[in-house]
Amino acid sequence: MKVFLRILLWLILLGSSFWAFFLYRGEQPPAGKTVVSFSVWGGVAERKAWETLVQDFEVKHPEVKVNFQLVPIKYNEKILALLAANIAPDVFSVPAADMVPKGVLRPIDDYLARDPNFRPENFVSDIWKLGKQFGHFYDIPSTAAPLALFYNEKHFKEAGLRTPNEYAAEGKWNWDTFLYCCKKLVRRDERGNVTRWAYRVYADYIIWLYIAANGGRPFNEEWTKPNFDDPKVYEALQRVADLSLVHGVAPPVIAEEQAGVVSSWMEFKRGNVSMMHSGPWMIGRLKGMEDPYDVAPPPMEPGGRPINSLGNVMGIWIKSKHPWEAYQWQSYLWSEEARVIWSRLGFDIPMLRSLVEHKEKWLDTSIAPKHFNVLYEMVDEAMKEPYSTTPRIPVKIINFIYRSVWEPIRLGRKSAYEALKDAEPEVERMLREAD
Amino acid sequence: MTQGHSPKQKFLRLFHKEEREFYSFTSPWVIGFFLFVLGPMVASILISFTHWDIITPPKWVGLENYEEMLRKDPLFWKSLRVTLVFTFVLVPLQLILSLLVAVLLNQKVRGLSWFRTIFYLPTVLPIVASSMLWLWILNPSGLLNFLIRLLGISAQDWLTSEALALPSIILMSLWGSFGISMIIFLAGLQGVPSALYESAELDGAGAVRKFFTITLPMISPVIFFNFVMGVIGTFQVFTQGYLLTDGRPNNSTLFYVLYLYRNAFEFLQMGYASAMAWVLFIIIMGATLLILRTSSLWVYYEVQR
Repeated sequence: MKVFLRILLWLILLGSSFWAFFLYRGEQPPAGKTVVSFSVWGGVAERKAWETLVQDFEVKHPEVKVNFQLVPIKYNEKILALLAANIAPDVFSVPAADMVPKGVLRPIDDYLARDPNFRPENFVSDIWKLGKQFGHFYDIPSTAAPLALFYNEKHFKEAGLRTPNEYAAEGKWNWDTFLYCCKKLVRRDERGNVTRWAYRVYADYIIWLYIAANGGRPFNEEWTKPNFDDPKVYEALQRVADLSLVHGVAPPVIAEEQAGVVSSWMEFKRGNVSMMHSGPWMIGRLKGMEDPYDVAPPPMEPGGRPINSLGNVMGIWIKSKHPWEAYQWQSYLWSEEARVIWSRLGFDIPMLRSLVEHKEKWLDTSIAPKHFNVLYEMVDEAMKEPYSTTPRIPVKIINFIYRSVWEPIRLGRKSAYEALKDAEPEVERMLREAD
Repeated sequence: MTQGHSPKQKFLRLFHKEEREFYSFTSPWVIGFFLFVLGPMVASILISFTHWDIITPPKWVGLENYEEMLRKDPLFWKSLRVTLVFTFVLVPLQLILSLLVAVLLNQKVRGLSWFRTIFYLPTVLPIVASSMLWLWILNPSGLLNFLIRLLGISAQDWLTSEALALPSIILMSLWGSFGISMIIFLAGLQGVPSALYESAELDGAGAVRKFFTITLPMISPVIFFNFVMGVIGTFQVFTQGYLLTDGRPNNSTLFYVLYLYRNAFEFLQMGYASAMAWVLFIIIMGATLLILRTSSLWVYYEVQR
């Protein structure tokens, strides 16, 4: 019996090893179909939209099957692990400055040249040009994602204030007006504890908007040196920090990812915060918000301008075995059909002229804010250099600025001037080394 | 069947059989050790002398990573300081509290097994689940702030204030980890011969005297074990900082391993992260050796070597 058991165990061991190494082929594609794997950031809210897109694509391209995986958090780290293991998906997104120069993506210039459906003239504000990184096209952005101010209309009305859009129409929507509104919007109980904040920082990357809206530029035109001694840069950050430190109208340092259970947009949706900055994707998230809300341009100083929040590039893995099929999926994502599905759910506003002129095709008036057009009005300005910061600056430097510069400022440990002055040599060194 | 064999042959046969079984049973662990521990360790020491981003081939840079770490990177020192504070505060607290609870649970009272289960239960929870639980307790509108408001104290930013974030994580870690050392202490306490206590009682020793002159020396090997394991474990703390605070605010909860991870998987600096791993290995090895060397001064073994 013992001998029998021993033989059986060895057979199981050797048999399973043989199967694993020589016979197992993983999930096989359906006959006659090519499988394109695709990974993208997203949570429960985005799942339905992606499923709809995949279904629509597969109907139009019956020879291709898309296997998609949604990654809710730490997306970049997961993609890196897959790249290291040589099992990356065919289509995925990566931080442009870090990954594109390393050659992980396949240039698509040749595919674009012979794609009759790619019509650059149909893109608003030439946003298609943003797909060119380091001399080649890897992607065609389907969105411009301009950052705007989201505000609770009911709170403004209750406080007896005109709306930010009305101030903007009068040319008075600047930082002083914004601060005046904040002071009127904040609510305290009889003991002085805040029961409703006027404003909340949505995420760290909004600092680039604060600087741009104040007319500043954080790096030189070549992106090789920080421009931190520019008063327009440090004043912008100090003003935002002072909302909490001096005026008590914004909560103290609470980064969205830090206290994830009470993120800014959730607090805004619940009516616990009156204003925040965010992008067009927020419309879908705010679906079902009890109080009416609207969007407005960010408060701006002379020379100030909006920016967008593009950072990652969605491209084809250089080692993809089916690059053409991957391109078909990738190009579908910026097609009119895909943008209609995506926009109807409130995750974007389309950047194709053919759709901008026919809003009835995609606009769900039951969820869109009244002044959603403001988002379009900002695109031209937001597309000017620097349209954003993350595509040009490696993650390590961005991370250093968020954690070692921006946080001490918000905590009141250092003034913005001091923090930026102290950080400038280190950022310069990191930029030099990254170069 | 074995009647024709001499005793020597029988012994050799038995020996070979035992030998075969030994290798059969240990081989999964040994193979696993070589493939998944020793192999990566050797690889990581080589990687620590390179600049490597996983994607492109590594570039040999000699000691540059170590030099950068020790001379240029303020966050390396910050993360080391945060980890040392965590270790120096948590380990003694953990030892004292778990010993105290173990002594209480060593008494003959009703419902003892219930108490033991309740105190041990947090240890059974996966660290990710307990971190999420504490995120709810410590968040600005969470349970803890609700309770202290009832007492008339204003709400605190447990995880978002620079002064409170690390103590909050220490508190959570204490709750989640003291059960293991408590159960080991309990086993140690039950191994102390009752005759020693009876003799002491005859000599008129009180409870405190008995604790310090009998219990503590007799369980000193257990204290030693928990101490070493506690130090090794706390130097490697990662999950709490990763999930609860992401190293924030102002890097006040940037644990060493969290910073190492960030260098590897966010900044694509595998060489630098490997160098950090080796420095941590040396620190832990040094701390363990130091405790081992000093153990002869305070650890009592019934059978002295």
